[in-house]
Amino acid sequence: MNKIFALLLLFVSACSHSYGNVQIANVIQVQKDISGNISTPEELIQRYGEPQQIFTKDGQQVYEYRYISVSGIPDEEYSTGAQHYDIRYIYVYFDNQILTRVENIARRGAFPPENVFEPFLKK
Amino acid sequence: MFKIVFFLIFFLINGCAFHIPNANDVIKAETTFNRDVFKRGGKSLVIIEEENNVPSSIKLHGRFTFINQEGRRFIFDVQNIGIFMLDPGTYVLENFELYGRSGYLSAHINYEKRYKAYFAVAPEDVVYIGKIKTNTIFSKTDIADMQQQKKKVITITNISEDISSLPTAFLGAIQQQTDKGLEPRLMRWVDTLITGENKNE
Repeated sequence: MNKIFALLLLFVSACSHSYGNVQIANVIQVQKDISGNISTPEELIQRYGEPQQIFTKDGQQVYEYRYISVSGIPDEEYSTGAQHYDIRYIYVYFDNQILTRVENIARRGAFPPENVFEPFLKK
Repeated sequence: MFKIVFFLIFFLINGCAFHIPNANDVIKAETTFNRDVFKRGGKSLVIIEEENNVPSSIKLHGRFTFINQEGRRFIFDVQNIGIFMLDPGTYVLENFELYGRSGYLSAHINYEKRYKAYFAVAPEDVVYIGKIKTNTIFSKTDIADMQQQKKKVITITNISEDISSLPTAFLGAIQQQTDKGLEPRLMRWVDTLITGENKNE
């Protein structure tokens, strides 16, 4: 019976698509891990791989990791398939190669994500 | 018991096969404007408009496929106004088409290599890259033979700066969400038929 359940889960999980670094999916845990165990960019890359983006903000280098997924079993005939989205971002700040802070953003909801500009577009 | 499980698996397989989310959904989830991600993530906000008067029983809208310097493809479906939150970088047009869908039916005009375009954005840019306007300059129906009717449509697509036509409330919302005003910066748009680069059309 457990095998059947596992098989069902496999099919359900197959109904998803993702992009980015799956290692950072649990952003809270990753944020704690980086804050407690990482101090340089080299250590960060060694543990989590190359970031999706590196940019400069307020004079500091920011390493950005992200993981985005959409999933769901559709209930509409013409649905493209996606029912839910889940985005995870981790930002690691370095000042002169020394880690200064770690931030995360996590958002999930019904697909497509809300367009905050939609109410203002009606001419 | 076996039958119930079998039908359940069968249902799931069919559901997944026809409706599995795809890469475009992921791109859409990621590029939809999010204030927190925009402010913290060194993103840029790009606004593009599209308008066409191509005759079609299914309403057509612009579909732009851009590829960035990392080789990632972004499909922008633009119905009137498109708003995208992007990573800084250079985006090169790979394909432009007019596309529409209604239930099972779809219609499209694929311009393939006819148009070349690119734009570049830096962190925290809030830019308007233009209105892409497709005008029909010739449209007629020929009866090629007794069995088939062919509709011939000739169009030309160009770019214009029409930021003043954007709703004032929308411009205000941009300012409020990004703390910056919308800067007009037209993307480079080339019709290869006019420049003579395209010999096939």
